[in-house]
Amino acid sequence: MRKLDLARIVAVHMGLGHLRAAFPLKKLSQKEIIVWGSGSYADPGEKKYWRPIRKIYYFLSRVGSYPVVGGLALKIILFVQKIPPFYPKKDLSSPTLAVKFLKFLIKKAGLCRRLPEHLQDDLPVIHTFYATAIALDIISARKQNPGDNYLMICDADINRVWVPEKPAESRLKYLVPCTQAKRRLLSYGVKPEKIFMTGFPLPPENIGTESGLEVLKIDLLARLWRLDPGGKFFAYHSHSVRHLLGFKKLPEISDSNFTVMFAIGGAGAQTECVHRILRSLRNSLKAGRVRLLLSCGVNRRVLEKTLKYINQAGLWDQLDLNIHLIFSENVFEYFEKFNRWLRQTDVLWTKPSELSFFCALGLPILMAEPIGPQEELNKRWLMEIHAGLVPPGPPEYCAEWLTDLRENGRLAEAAWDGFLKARKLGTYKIRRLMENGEYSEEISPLKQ
Amino acid sequence: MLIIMLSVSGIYLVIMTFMTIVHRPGHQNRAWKTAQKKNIYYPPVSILKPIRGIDDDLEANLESFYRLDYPRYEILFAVDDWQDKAVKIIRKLSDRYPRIRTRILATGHNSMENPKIHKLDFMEKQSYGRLLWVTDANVRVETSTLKSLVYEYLGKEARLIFSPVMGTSSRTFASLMENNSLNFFTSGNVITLWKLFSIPVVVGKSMLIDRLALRTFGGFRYFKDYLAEDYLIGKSFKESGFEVSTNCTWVTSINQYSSLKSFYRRMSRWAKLRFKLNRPAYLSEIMLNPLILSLLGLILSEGKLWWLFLLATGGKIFLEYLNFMFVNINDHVRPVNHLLFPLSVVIKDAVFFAVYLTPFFSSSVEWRGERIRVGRNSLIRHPATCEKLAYEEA
Repeated sequence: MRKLDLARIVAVHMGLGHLRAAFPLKKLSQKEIIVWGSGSYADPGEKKYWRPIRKIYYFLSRVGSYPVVGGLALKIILFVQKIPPFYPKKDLSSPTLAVKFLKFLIKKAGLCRRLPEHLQDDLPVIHTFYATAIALDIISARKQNPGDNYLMICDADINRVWVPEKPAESRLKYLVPCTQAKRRLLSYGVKPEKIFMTGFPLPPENIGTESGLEVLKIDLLARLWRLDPGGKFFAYHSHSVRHLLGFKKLPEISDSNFTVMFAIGGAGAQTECVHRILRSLRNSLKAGRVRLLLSCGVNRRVLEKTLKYINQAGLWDQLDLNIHLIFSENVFEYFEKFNRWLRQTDVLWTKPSELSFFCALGLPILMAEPIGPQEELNKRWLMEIHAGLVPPGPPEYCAEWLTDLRENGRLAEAAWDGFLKARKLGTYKIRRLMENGEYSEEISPLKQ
Repeated sequence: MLIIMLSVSGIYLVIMTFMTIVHRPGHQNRAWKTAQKKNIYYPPVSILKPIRGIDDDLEANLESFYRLDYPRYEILFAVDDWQDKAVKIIRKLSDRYPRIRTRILATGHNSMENPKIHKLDFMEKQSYGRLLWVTDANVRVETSTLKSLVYEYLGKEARLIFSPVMGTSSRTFASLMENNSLNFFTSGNVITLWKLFSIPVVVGKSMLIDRLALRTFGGFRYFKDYLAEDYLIGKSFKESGFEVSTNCTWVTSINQYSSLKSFYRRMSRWAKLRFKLNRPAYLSEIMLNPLILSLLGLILSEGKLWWLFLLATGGKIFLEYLNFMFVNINDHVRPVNHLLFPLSVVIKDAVFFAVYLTPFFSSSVEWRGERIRVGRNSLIRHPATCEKLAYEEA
């Protein structure tokens, strides 16, 4: 993708999700991504709000796995982020306490008040976090001709706090990753013309061109072969695979090994699980039957703990051979590495975070225990489209059940379903929307 | 309360002195003595030496590395630029010892990073050894030092070997104080904390590192944003499950002409770093200064505890003198060192107390002519840009 100056991208460092959504959109702007509340963005007065919020976020994300206090922490998370049931369908537009509190922070405490100084009037702004988007919406309400203000939704379903107090009067527009998110926004009172079903912005380097999907197709075909050693998947789907991926003939050999990526998460909530996975996969790793990619994110503590588990499992000699660590203290450098390794990944094992949308790249998602209601609903979405699998056993037996899932062709099926049903062209659609306002909703798996 | 604190302090200092004497320089353990007779395969080593300017007796220090009794090794030097006066000395030595592969790298200076790590990163990329031995420019070693360190590496399957440091060659009053503090306080703690509690206190003057283990962190760059790189290297290795060890193979640090100002500055920098690294441990350091504790007692008791002050002062001087006699053998030859010794202990501890208070008022340190603000874990603080967004640990 060419680097254009089509928009300004604003994200917030609150876990990796909002930054990950912003990363592929980087090329729409000639300026760097504005990570509000971090680094040089936001004055010290404002940092005093962001820092404790971030600390609480990381603490709650981590503490869920602790005994005794974990249960209580989870209840707090569930309460704070509660998403009301969607059925029976009803009007949910009246503001919640969280919406009012956010408005108070913006109007009275000056949250994001200096954000407009970093923007350019004639360029649209794409946010990946609700607070900055709503703040800009409120601040620019007084202006005569404010620029377009877009908010990218990063989950399959969202809390009311993502929408301003009076959605009908707001100029905020939404970029949504899936149908459920769109339905939810409608129920919150957002006008349909302000919702654009683009899909989640995925890394173009993992896709290829918009019309050809060359990279995605090649990677997916290779992956399907590795995930279907018994040929069960291809027995049902070889015709549609050939048709949609555009290969006249399918290769006849299949790899005996496959690659699993385990994403530990920004706060390191899944670190303990690594220990159990390594114990189970120890022999397979030594024999080269499985390759394990451990995505440690940007947290030094996570990397060091992961290394400790590798040493404890006696797998030190497998590092950089059959075990690879994905880590960088620089968030964007980490995303680059992550995306590169994703091309070699056959199974993505993660909690159902924003990474759920990566199933569109033809990656089967093995879902670790979700944290928070939005992840519960991401999980539900993954199950609905058959791209996500709940591990059939505990991680300490993953060597056994991974083999079974692979031999039954279930992993290949999930990969294929993700490719067919999830939107993969979010980045391209957002670009066209910014470039010339062009927008269309497609149903073909190759065009959505 | 004060008496309890002084008793604890006294017991620890006695143990520390005893441990330091038992593991004093040149006192090799039995296993190593036996090993010298065996036919052991010693892996290739790259010696990495970051250099800036001329340290005390630099040529003799560097030459000691060319005289090592070790089958295969190379020496890499990193300077800021080719105008560095040390380059001439290095070239002279490399001509004198053509059989030892020598490389000099001019790495420039990046003010946003730990300058030592900046150089080490360059050198690591240019080196071939399985093992990397990082030593400072003012370090001098025995011919057997490297073999002894590698023997520990092979025997314990350790990935990082650290060493106690002997400060020596005092020619000024301040250098006598500095060397005493290095031998008693620093090396005493290195040995005692390791022998009693298996806590590695890694001092950057000598670190033997397994290159493959370092690579799992992405190389030296992993530590580039921190000023106390030695402590963090030890901590990261330990927390990552890599064996860290020492067989108390000492290295020598040559401090000949330190001034009181440079001594204060160095101590103040180290104090601020220790404060940022481990606050509870730092606060407890006051326990190692019985002079100040007893002086406090003297003031609070309106002079009634004079005997305690004298006892503490006498005891501290005695323990440090024991350390001086057993550890810093080179400095015995100067009678003036013996004469000045009691005064040096008292003044040193007074300076230590002044230094001890500085981290409570300031978090910036002076390092190679620049003032650097340090944060948690000695993080180098500078205006961050979001493209280089570092993880803000929550």
